[in-house]
Amino acid sequence: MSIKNIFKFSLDNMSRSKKKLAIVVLLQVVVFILVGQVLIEYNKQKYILDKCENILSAPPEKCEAIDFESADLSEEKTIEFVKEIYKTEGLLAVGHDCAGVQGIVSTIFNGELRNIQSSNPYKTYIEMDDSLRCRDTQKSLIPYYEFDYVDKLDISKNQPMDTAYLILGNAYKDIKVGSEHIEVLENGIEVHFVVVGILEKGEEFVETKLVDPQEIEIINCDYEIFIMYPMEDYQYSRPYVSYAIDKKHTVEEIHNKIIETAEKYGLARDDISFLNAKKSLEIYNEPMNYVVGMILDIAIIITIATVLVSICIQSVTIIDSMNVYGIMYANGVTRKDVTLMLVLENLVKLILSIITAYAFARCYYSLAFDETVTFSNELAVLNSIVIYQVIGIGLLVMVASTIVPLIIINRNTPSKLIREIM
Amino acid sequence: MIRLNNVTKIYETQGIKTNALNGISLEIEDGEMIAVMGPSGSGKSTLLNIIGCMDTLTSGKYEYNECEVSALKQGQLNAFRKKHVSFVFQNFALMKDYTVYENVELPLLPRNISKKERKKIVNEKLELMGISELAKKFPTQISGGQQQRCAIARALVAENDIILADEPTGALDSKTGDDIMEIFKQVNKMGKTVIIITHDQKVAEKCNRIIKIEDGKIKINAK
Repeated sequence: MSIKNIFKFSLDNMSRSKKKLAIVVLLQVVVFILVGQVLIEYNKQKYILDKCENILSAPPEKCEAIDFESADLSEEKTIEFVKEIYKTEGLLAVGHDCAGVQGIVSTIFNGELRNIQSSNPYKTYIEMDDSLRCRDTQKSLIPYYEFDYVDKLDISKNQPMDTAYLILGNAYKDIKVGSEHIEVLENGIEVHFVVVGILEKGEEFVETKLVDPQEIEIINCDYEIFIMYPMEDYQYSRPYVSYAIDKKHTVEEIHNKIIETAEKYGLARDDISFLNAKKSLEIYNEPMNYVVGMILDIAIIITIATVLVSICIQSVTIIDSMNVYGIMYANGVTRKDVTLMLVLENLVKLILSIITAYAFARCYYSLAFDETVTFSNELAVLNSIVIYQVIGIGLLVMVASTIVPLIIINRNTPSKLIREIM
Repeated sequence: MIRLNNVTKIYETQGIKTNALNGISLEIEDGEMIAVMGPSGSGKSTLLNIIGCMDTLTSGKYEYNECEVSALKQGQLNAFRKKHVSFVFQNFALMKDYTVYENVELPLLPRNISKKERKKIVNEKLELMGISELAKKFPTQISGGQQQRCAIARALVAENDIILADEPTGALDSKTGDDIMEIFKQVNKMGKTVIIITHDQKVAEKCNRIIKIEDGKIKINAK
């Protein structure tokens, strides 16, 4: 039979049993969405883990975080203490979750500290497609980017943190209106930022400013801080302040200064602890490896289940229409034609399923997440990695769902298929 | 001419061997109309399957004109079937989701005949069977006799030399069965070799020759 006729025949067969086709496609769509969601989570976690391991190969020195063990961050004294940390001599860059430069992975957005700085969710303005968009960082979940500074930050000035400074979810001591930044996304796209205002408590930005990308120059900073918390503290509610220490100062010296400041504000020594970047990463890595492995296991289990379910559905469908193959054989259709028909039918089902699942996922992620929130860029992960992984799994499903029914058909001689008719 | 020489067919199910055909030798001239009779399990259908290349024989020789069919491989058997054999079944074996026209068109698809040509051939056979007006109907919308006419039209479109019919009147009332047998006679007059399996003596009597099989052996072979 010519390919054209086989194709026509396959499409005819499918169009005549729309209900069956709809059930198979719907089932595959559900499974692909499920697998896709697990894979998105896996790839996000794997990305962070890879970054951690990369940094661990050359761990940053003199980068730490202060962990607020039992300090109540809603208390005025703690807020004052946090503000005071920024004035400490010898601290080069301070952020409430991280202050970083090229190659850094930011850590978790810190909800508690946000409440200290402002009662409102943080907002930054992103220049994109010649317009300035507002980004609500309350939606930030997991950081997923690298960034460079445009303005070299003058970190020698210990500007008190008596107002809320915000850019990229971080607070810097010398941030000022008009400072410009570029965030380099995973796909290489640069997003330009400008600080359009500094919030007082309870205030919202009222002014915006467009940046001319031509005027922006990327300048790499000299310092980086990368702190990850051990799993038990891997909670959004756990606040911390991270910083880098100037080469001229020792770690002990800085610790003593911070403890002195803490005591000055009535905090006990046990209320805070210091987390070394390397150590925290090592502690973080082990459970993260477990989590990533577990997510991968779930993805594999779902994939295997998908393949098995698909094989079962196909087999039941084939057994149900065994007599049709008998009629075909009796009328000159060959095994090769039947094989091609099955391949084409399953390919069409696969394409329909993947397109539907992708369209659904794309709509969902576009609606459920602000696309400018790059901290939780599910859509980018979906487009850059997961779609290809799902296509790969889909092809596996297609091959399995073609081979097994073919074995069932070919195990029966044409006369046995004829007997199905008689 | 179909020539079977000492043909045996043994089925093996769960270690139990069954001799379906037990040394059958038979010659069928081109253009003959033959009835094959016998009790259930006697080997009638197996004989039909072997002649129609839907099954392979265990031993013996099967020749069609100059071709030794028993020596052909699976792919060649498919090609032989496509070129020489058409089937008509007791329960019509029509595809229920396809119209009468599309069912009749089916054997022409593997033959890569143009759409225009297919239309011409199919309409011609539908007219010959007197079911032109049913072309757009589905099998479930027409009577048993009409379904069998459709099945015969399908067997004829391929223009094959051999028509194998397994109990073609078995699911029909006697009047419709008579009509169908008349059609087979017409088909035979076109020069086709027609082999009909039947339990019905009246049907068998309308054929040129009757072969009776019992326990995989030919008991009667009479004109």
